[in-house]
Amino acid sequence: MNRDVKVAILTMEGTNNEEEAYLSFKHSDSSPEIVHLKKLENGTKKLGSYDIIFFPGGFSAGDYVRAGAVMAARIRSRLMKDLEKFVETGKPVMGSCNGFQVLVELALIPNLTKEYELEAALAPNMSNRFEARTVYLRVNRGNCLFLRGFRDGEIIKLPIAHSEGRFTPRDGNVLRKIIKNGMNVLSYVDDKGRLSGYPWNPNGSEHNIAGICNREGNVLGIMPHPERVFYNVTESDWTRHEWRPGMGYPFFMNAVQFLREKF
Amino acid sequence: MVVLRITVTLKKAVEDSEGSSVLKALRLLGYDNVREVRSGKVYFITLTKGSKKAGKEFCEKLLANPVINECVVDD
Repeated sequence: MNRDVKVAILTMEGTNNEEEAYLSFKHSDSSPEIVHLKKLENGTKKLGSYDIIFFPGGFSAGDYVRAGAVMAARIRSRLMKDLEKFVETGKPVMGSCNGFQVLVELALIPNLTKEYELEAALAPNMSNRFEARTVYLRVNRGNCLFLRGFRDGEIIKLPIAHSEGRFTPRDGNVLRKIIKNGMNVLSYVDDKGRLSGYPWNPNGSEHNIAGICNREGNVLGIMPHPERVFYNVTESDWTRHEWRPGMGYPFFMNAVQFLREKF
Repeated sequence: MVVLRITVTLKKAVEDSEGSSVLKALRLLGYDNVREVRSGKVYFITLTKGSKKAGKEFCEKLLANPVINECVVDD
């Protein structure tokens, strides 16, 4: 019998996509639970009792101050040690969209120095618009555990919906290290797989970065929403291709399988 | 009571897309003399006691991301 894999999907006022993430993990043979931040803050729940942590998308705390800033500040004030410990055990942590913004604000991404210092931000889109559509992405999977089912150079399509997704490194040195270490695991590309400008790069991200994995490969932050296309039939063009699992399916299945193999 | 005025803007080197949109709109309204627009947020924070030093902490812990933001505290 398979080991039970417990997943915490962290929520607070304003997050959304919890249900999609919940169902994605549930149908990846794990036991997800939607956990409100307050329960972790008051000690009712413990991060250490879970195997995978997922930060969903949405607009935590109304996106006031900056997207993800309030949720990150709350976590940093009470739960950061537990979260760092969790990350350092090598267990999977993933954030999509607002979840990516939270991970960057927490300095879990890119975390080049392993000192959890702020090295990046997700700035407002260059278009100054809320960009919501399907985008093409090129996979550069490296050692990222969430991307094990993909081929290097594979082009996939995932939906996006955000207004603050422009990945902005602190300086050129941070960007160079991210690229040198192969941490830019997903890049916005055009329909031919080339790094291109707007509208292919929907937000003006440096080097077309759409997703970053930490060096160890167990923390992934991405602007697109794999949980929205776990199933083939929720893809925007599902009637135009043969049946297959949704493009988001491997992200969840990989995390659960990795957990069972390593822990 | 101390009232702090904290202004958070994008650093000069960071493209200010909201500022650019406002600039474009003002020019469309006929204001040809507008050369640049920078956008930002202003917070008015009332303390029962404390000083500008508290405001600096608010910037560091919540209001600004030093990668892209500048944070100025006035009292």
